[in-house]
Parts: sequence; structure tokens; C-alpha cells
Amino acid sequence: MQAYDVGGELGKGQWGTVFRGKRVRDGLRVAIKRVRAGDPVEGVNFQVLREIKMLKGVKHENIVELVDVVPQEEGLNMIFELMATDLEKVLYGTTPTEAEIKGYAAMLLEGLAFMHAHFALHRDIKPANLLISFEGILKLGDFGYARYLADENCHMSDQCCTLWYRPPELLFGASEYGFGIDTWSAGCVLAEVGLKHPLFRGETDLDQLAKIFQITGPPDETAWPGVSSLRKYIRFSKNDNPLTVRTLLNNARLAPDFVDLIVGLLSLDPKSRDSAVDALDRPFFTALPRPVARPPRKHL
Amino acid sequence: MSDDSVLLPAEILARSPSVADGVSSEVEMEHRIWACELIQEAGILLRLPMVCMCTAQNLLHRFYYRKSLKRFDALSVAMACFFLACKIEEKPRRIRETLFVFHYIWRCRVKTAPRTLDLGGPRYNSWKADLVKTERHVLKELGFSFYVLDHAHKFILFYVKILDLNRDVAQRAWNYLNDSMRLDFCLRYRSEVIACAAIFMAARALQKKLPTEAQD
Repeated sequence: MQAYDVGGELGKGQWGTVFRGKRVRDGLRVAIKRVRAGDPVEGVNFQVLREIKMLKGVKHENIVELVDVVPQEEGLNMIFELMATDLEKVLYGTTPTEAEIKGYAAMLLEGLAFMHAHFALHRDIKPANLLISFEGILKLGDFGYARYLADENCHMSDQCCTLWYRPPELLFGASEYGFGIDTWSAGCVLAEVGLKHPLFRGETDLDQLAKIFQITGPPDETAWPGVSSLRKYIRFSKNDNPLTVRTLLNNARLAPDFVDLIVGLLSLDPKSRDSAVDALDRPFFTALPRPVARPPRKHL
Repeated sequence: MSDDSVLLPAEILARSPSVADGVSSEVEMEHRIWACELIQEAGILLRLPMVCMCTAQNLLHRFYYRKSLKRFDALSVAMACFFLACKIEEKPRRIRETLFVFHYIWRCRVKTAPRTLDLGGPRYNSWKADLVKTERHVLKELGFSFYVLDHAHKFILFYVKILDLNRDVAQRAWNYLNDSMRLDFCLRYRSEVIACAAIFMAARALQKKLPTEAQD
């Protein structure tokens, strides 16, 4: 760890603590995520291994860069490039312009498209995990849940994604899923950017489903073939005035092409949901104003 | 998209730490082979896919180009690489399962080995502490780049199909590859090359004709 000057604390989580720091050799500003890894019960922490494995594999402009990993006593230090802020802080602490919002949306989808092209799932897309650099580049962060897509008929856990951004197929207990889980979360994030509050704020798994279906109306076999055979499928009764996501967003006076983008990502059936690449082809990104990446006005 | 290649440069391959430590290269090879066999058998007993064993064996060979057998014995390292590889390949096994399985296959081979390993007993606890410690050493020595994206096995079916060979050849070539993991080929030659060699050998052994000229 002599290669880095450790500075003040930036944040704390259940997995450990993040410090600000500097690489002695060239003064590169870094964030040091110190995790307890020498778990005496099950060895090196599975999630930490996953995060290192994924970040060493996927290198892209819109994915946070893991500079180094340094072991220290019982723990590990994961050294990341220092980021200025995250989308949650930008969204609730400042007022990004339309062009900046478009930029963030494009960079989020570019990052996802890259991961998906390499058969990797992020599985925890939410505003707090979308980091923004000092140059205003949005990068996907926190790869603790990320993994490569399993082979066919191999089960993956349905316990991932933060509840508010968790897609209906996971809430119904699907164990074979695909890139749709990330694009649903992306849709939720973009809707939140437009609305300035989270789209579906459930308190439990069931409540989350109820919140989603209150707006979209419950799915049936015609809208989503195969839904009723999912492991935790529950039939929801039809509500009298389904609002649809489209009217909800239109009522909030979002630009029509922005609404189209979000609605495409928030299709209940994962098979008919837009992929990240489809979403990037939407007219939203070619219409004026053009997307930009501007340095954030407020940072840590 | 993983670190481009896990091949080691010739000067490292020529100088193994164990040999520098006074272990003869024959003995070193025997220990490597023995350790890889333990991994293979543990994987079979725990019904794991071959990719877990391959990754574990790959880690083990790389580790012994960093550290000497005199400091790290083959059993501990085999166990640590196995335990780590299962996590890397998304098939995590409990530390308990790993310990019991390795104790079992060890005592099948070593007559003087103690017969029992009691859960929570002193021997169990010291094995466990050793495993956790060795796992960290392995990670550290490999510089935390441990993901092997392309094992030679991945290419077999693809090549066999292109060459219009049958199932038997594929199976035979696959067996050769499994055996090849006992040695450190995976650090010397690219996976595609190893896969080709295995198919060539399999075709020879089964007297299948390979195309002699490039076809469109």
C-alpha cells in the first residue's frame, strides 16, 4: 500500500469503507475501497472476487476503471479511478439540462450495450451506482452482483437488483433471465431522471409488483407468454384504471421521444423489452438538443 | 476481453522457484501432477463441471512459477486453488465440503494419513486456517488476475465440427485435454494450439483422416 497516499473517508457501506487517495508515482487521484476479504468462514468473499473478475474483464469508457488491487492484512484494497459524483447526487442536488440528461442516458446505455455484447450482466443498475467523472463521463460502478450469463438451464439467483429497480421477472422468481434485467433497471433510472422521483417505490417484493402493476396493469399470457409458469407467479386482479407508463410520463411533461425510449425499456415481457442497442437507436438520441457530457457542477 | 493472455514468458518458465530452492525438476513435476490429480478427483466427487477443475489447475501451475514447493506444499495449494476456482467459475462450494473431499482423497492415497477429520475438531480447524491463508497467497501471487476466459476445451467442439469429425474424436480429444492439464502446457501454448494438438492426436489414435488441404 506504500504506492498510495490514503486520504479522507468518502463513504461507508456494509462491505467496507471507501477512502480518497493519491497514487504516489504520478499523483493520480483514486478511490480506495477497503473491503474485509479474509473471512475466516468462507475464505475470500465471493462478491469481492466477482467484482474483481468482472472489472478486470470489461474495460470501457463507460465502466469504472479498476486501477489495482492491493492486499492488506485481513482485507483488500480495490483501487479505482476517483469519480466526482454519482447520478443520484446530480439528480437530487442539481438540475441537469436536457442535453446533459440525454448524455447520461446515452452513456448508461453504451456501458450496458458493451457489457451485454460480452455476455455480462450488471444486475444492480440504480442511480447511486452510476458514477460520474470530473469530465462528466458516466460510468457503471459497483460490480458486486455482476456475472457472466450462465449456460442454458443453469440457474442464476433472483435475489439481485435493488428492489425499486428490480424487473418483474425477478420478482416472479425467474432463474433463467437475460440482459432484460439491466435494461428494465435502466428504464426505471431514466424515468426517475425525468420525474425527479423513483418510478416504483415498493417496500417488499410483493408491494413492488403491486406498484408496478398499478401503473402497467397486471400481465397475462397474451401480453407476456410464459409468465404464469414462473416460480413465484401470483395472479394480480385487474385494476379499474390502469394508467400506463406512457400517460404517467406524458402527464409529467416529458419530451415525447424521451417517453418512447423509457416505455420501450419498461415492457413487462423481457423478450419484447428493448435491448440497450435498440434503445440507443431511438430518435431521442438524434433529435436536438444533442447529448453532451459536461463536468458536474457540484462534486465531492 | 480478459487479460489478453495468461502465457508466461520463456525466462520465467525456464526458472521455477522450486528448482531454485533445490527441488529437482522431476520431483517438481511429480508434485504438480499429483496436485492436479487431487483437483480433478475432488471436482468429480463434487460433481463440478470441468471448467472449475481447469481453472484450478491453471491457477496451481501459475502459482508454482511464483512460489516454491518448499514453502507451499502441493496438497494445500491444490485445495486453495480448487476452492478459489469454484468461486471464480460461479459454482461456490462450502469450505467444509472442500476440506472433507480433499481429506478423503488424500487419505485414499496416503496410507499414513489420519483416518478422520472431525467437523470443528483441532485438525479440521488447522486445515481450514491453512486453506484460508493459502487462498489469499494464491490471489496475491497471481496479482488478482485469475479469470481464464478461454480454456482449450472451449475450442474442441467447434473445431471438430469444422473438420467434420465425429463424437468419438471429440471425446478422445477432450480426454487428452483433461490429462494435459496435469502439465503446464496452458502457460506455454495458446489454448487454440493445445486444442488442435489434442484433435490431431485423437484423430491419429482413432485412425480418422484429417483434411490435408485448406477448404473453403
